Amino acid sequence: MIPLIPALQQVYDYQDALTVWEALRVWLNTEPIHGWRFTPFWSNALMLVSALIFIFLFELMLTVGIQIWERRVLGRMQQRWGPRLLGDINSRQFWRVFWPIVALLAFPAVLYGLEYWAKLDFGKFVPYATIACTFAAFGVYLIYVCGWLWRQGFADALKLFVKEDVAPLNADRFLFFIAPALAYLPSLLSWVVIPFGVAAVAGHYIYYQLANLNVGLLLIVADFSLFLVAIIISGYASNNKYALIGAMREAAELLTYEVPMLMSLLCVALFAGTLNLTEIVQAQTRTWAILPLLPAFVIFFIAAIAETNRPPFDLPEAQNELLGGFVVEYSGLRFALFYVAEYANIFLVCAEMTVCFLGGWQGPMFLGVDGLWLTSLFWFMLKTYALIWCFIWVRATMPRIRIDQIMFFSWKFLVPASVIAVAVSATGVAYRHPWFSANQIWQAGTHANEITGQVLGEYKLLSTAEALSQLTLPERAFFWLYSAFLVAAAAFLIGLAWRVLKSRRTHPLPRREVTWT
Amino acid sequence: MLPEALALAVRQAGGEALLLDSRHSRALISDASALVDICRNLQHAGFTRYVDFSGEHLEHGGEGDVFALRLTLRAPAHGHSALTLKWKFRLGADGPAHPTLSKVWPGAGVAEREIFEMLGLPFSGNDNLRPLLLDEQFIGNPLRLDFVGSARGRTAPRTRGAYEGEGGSRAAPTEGEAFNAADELERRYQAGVIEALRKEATG
Amino acid sequence: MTRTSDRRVERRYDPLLTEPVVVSIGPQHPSLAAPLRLTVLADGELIERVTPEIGFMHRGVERLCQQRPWAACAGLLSRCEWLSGSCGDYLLSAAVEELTGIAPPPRALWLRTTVLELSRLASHLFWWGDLGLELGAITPIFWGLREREGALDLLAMLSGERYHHGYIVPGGVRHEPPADFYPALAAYLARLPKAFDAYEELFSDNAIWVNRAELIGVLESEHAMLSGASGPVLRASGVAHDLRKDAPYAAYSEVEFGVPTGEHHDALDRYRVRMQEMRESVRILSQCVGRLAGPDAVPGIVRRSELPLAVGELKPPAGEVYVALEGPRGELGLTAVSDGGPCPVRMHLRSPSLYHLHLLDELCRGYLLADIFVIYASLDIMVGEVDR
Repeated sequence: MIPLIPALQQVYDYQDALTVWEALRVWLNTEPIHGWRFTPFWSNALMLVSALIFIFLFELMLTVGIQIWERRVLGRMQQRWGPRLLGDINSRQFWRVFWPIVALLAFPAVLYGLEYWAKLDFGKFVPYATIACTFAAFGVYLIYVCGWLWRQGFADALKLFVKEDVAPLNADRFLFFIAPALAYLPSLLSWVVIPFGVAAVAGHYIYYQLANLNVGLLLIVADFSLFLVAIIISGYASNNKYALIGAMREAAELLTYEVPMLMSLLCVALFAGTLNLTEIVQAQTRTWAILPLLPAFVIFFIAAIAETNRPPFDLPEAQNELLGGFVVEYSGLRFALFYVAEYANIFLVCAEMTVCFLGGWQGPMFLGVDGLWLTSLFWFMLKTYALIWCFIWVRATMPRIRIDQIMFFSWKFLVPASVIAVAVSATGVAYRHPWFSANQIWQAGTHANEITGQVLGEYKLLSTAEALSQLTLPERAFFWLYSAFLVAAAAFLIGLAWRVLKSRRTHPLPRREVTWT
Repeated sequence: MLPEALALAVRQAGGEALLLDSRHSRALISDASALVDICRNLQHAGFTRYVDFSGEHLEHGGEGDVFALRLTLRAPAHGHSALTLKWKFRLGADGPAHPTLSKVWPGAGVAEREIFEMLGLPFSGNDNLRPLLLDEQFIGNPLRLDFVGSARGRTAPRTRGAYEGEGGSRAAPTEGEAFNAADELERRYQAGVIEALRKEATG
Repeated sequence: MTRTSDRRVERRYDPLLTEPVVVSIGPQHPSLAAPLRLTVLADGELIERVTPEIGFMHRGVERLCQQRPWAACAGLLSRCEWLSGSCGDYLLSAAVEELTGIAPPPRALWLRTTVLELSRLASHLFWWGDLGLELGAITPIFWGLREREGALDLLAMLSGERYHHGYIVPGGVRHEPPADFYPALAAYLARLPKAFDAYEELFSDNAIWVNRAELIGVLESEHAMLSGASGPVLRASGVAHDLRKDAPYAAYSEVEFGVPTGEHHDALDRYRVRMQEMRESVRILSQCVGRLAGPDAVPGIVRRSELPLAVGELKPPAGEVYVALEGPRGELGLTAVSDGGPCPVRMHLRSPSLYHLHLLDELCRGYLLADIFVIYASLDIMVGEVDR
């Protein structure tokens, strides 16, 4: 449950809600450059190219950033200070480095806060200050973070880019050429549909999303299947039997873990009643999907680690005998594309978890409507990076699982569990469980989007007591049973975490003992 | 069981016990022809643990080379006390081959590979006498008395008994008889080059 | 040799007539600590045969020993077993002492025990870290090496060297340790049990590790003994033999410690045996500290001056001897033959890892490719002493 400021319910009135693409189109149609008239073809082309370049650069910085951050986090978890002294920045002097950025971002935030809470009015100063501070913060970020903190990562990326392009002698040239691009393409595509946040600008609500597809969730799942095909192609095109073996193992693992991933997303779709990611975020207004769908979240988390080939599921790619698996013959820019695709997938799958289970960009909007652009992005990034931190945490702790054990775990445990979760979610929808947003009263929308003509519906939220009073007896019984199960599951997880923090054994079986003489 | 039963077992097998100790015994076997039977008897007597098998080149002469072989065993049933068997073997051009002990203790098969490549002493019955530590193209047996080192530097042939305290001095082989691995390799290489040139000339 | 309870897979009838594939691991490989080649014939994932090829690190130590004076051989032997550097020194010293019949003084025995147990700890800590690393766990290597640094610092305090100490010499040990050695050792021993508890929490209880090591690489005791296995490998196969108990050397006859053995003879048992051995080493070292610096300290000199230290002056009388010690990997032995001269006539190092490596073939058959590294890590192979 998110403690929402009641006056901000208007955020969820999505008349005149635009995506970034549509907003740009609107802006270009107003002839910003005097006398230049953009035909639809040229405006589309310009926006497409700039979107691709922006996403590519963002993915590159993301790869470098996550990689550097991962090393520092691992260093802290393993109680060694070495990686945190990377560059000229000593992590113990966090504030010495980051105070300019924090101050530059805090200044407009303070202004928004004052405007909202203290009802002061600064007029035009606030938006100008916001724009100036954002650009200045970005500049400081470029110099400090990218220059000093990330220069190792950028040096690595630059090294990969300028390497000689080597291909095996008898490799299939065409397939060898397109495999990295085909691996990189799905992550590029999936970013189009994720809503990173929302802003309130000039009477419109603009979502940080490029395309508001009604089947956004399906697109992301389909993109993982495309990644799988790219891996098989790269393994085959390398003309190397070890690469082929590695690619086959990797393909088997990805295929196996797509099933529970898909099933838990199906639970989310049942919960929200839609595949549209924006509407899924809005369906979590009353309660984040993680609460009624806790088992589905756990299943998805594990399947996500396996899908992105993170340890402990990285035997196909980091295996000791096949040294890199399907990417063993790739070097330079081709390998860089695989690498960027892997980190983009990690971010993507964590963003997907945030959107589907953790309420997306929702959180206490502490800066009011005018600060929505910042707070929504802040919450989204906070949740996504918390999940990436959990990925890194799992990597630091666990050894690798053997390939047959990986498959066993999925087919014999995750798939039945996810099937049961889908069945229970479907029952929840059929029995009108009040926490499933699909059961809320759906009002047909009255306003059509000016650009696309899309008419979005809206949810009318009932409180739990009101909804319960409308349920029949079997539905009420299901509600109480399911709530009891969720409470038990949450108690189990909290108890486990408490035991871990208290440093007692969590393994159910006794430790193997030796005999003494 | 030790040391009387051990002495009995060794004597029955045709050997002679030198030193019997509850921790480490030494036995010298004068006749190595029934070696495998001796070893089986010892295994039945309790020495089921194989520890070590090594060899030494004692004499290099016209009649053949004499090697000293030492086998170390342990008896788990008797507090893992150790026994080192020693025997001498003369490798002649037409004499019998040394039998393998790998059928009695599989671990000895590994040591036999090393003895074969270091000393040149083959073990009949051991199919797996591939070189263990040295390269396949290596010429010579490094632990032999007449092995004179590699191409980098020439070491003098090893002499034995040149110091006081050891009875009998064994003469070092002369320069003409010494086997120089580096020269041999060079000679073979040159022969190969000449052969290739000849083939090329004749087409 | 096969048990019904271990997890070997039987080869099934294959109507597709697929061919087994040869996977070559090494000689340079990120997973192997030293150059070694394992040629694996695998039917898909199922291992049919593992052929180890060794000799990439062969330096001819045995022949080099024949050309160097007795005291200089210690350095050569120490470089075969470098993770526990004093074992080579001890072997040479014990061989010379047995040939000359001169025993070291009692205080030297306790100091030797201390150094040998510190070497054992150093070796096992590295083994544990490397095991985690080969399995993909990236945290154990840092923690194991961090604790190992403590032991290496203590050994450097004693001898000036971290790896090849040269502290144990024929006649005793080189000199009395500095005064701050004993408090430093006590402080190190105080923090080790907590570290071991953290290790067990992190890795030993991890279900992934237990599933990967349980009933993998089962070695029966009979076959282990016939093949020359020793040390933790033999103890995990059920044979309760420790040279420190059965043929005590140094001060081990006066020290109280336990010998762990395993019941299931698998890789997990070898792991557990070594983890318990680390704790027993701490116990032994605590007793050593008491007998060296406590109220009932053993007094006296630390080296018999009858055996000269100068290189070239040491000439043990003619004879031959086999000495062995319980190294971290197993029974490390030395066959030394002397003819009264300044150089030994024959030195043969009995390396435990050589026989363990050649057990790898039978241990790996019927398991999957990824199990090779579990079994290899559980055997704790040191290529330096395999190749000599």
